[in-house]
Amino acid sequence: MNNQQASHSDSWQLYGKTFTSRLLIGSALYPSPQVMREAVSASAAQIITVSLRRQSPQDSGGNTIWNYIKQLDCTLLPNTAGCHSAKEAVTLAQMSREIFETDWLKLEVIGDDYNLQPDPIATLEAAETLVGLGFKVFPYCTDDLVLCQRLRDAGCEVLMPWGAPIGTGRGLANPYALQTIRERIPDLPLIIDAGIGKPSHAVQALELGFDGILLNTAVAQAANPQLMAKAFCSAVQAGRDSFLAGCMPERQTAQPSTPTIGTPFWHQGQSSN
Amino acid sequence: MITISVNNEHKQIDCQCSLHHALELWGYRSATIAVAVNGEFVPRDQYPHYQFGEGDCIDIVAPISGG
Repeated sequence: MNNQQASHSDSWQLYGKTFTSRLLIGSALYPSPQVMREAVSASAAQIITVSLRRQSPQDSGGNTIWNYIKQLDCTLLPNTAGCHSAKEAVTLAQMSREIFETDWLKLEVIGDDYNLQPDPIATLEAAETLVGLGFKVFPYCTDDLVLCQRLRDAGCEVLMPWGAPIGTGRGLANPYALQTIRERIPDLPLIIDAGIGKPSHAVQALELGFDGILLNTAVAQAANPQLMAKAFCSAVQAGRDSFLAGCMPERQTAQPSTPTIGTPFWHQGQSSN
Repeated sequence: MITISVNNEHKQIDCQCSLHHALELWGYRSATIAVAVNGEFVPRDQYPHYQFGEGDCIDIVAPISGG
């Protein structure tokens, strides 16, 4: 199988569903619904995140964006954004399942409002309950190895550690921790969720062996969201191909790439620097 | 009549009124919504029989964009 064939057949599975794109995208913060639709299309993402909020009958704004999202033909991944306890997250998950008619759930329980850091204890508690209720849980979590192991043991078949706090665009703040999670949990799909700001961050995540990335702000708040979505599509593919190809080992010292045998103007006894 | 809270707004309602009827009264008849009362999810099939108590807090949510 050559490299081109490898790229095209490199699908992956999440809770039994097969996907070819390794980019999951959010539906918020775009300048307009039309830009959102074009950007999602340019990203080639097959999974899109959505949410729930209080709404009065007079407020049709939410329904407008929801109508656009429905037309995208993407798999929905509803989130529990804004929840601060396991109980809130479980209730919102149940409401979400009824509305979106899916048991997929991006579990998000915030523990600190300063950096929107997930609460590891409440996230685990909610995950245990939700798995028992039949949900397919995608937990948004910190890059703590033991927490990831506990979430796996609770029945989560996908893990989504953060790269950096939501909306910061700082990339992979702790590559060592993320690499350790990858090495210690080799058989579960791992998705970097949050903190990705540039396509180069996406390449780095995929090169580390992560299976996919989930982002929103990096595309939605770009000067040209449609073009940035295309850039992320290419970056995710490049990072994945790089991982599959196997990068060369780093060296401390230079090593010439041009063969040295037959070098002109070289004389016996001459040394190189 | 009892006083309840709907999405953090106080409303008065007949204590015999079902959740199903209340949602119609409030204009949610054709909306894509889900409901929780006092932090507990209320499935759609319970709306016709669900009745409120004094001081209940009702959350009515609808789909929006999310990250």
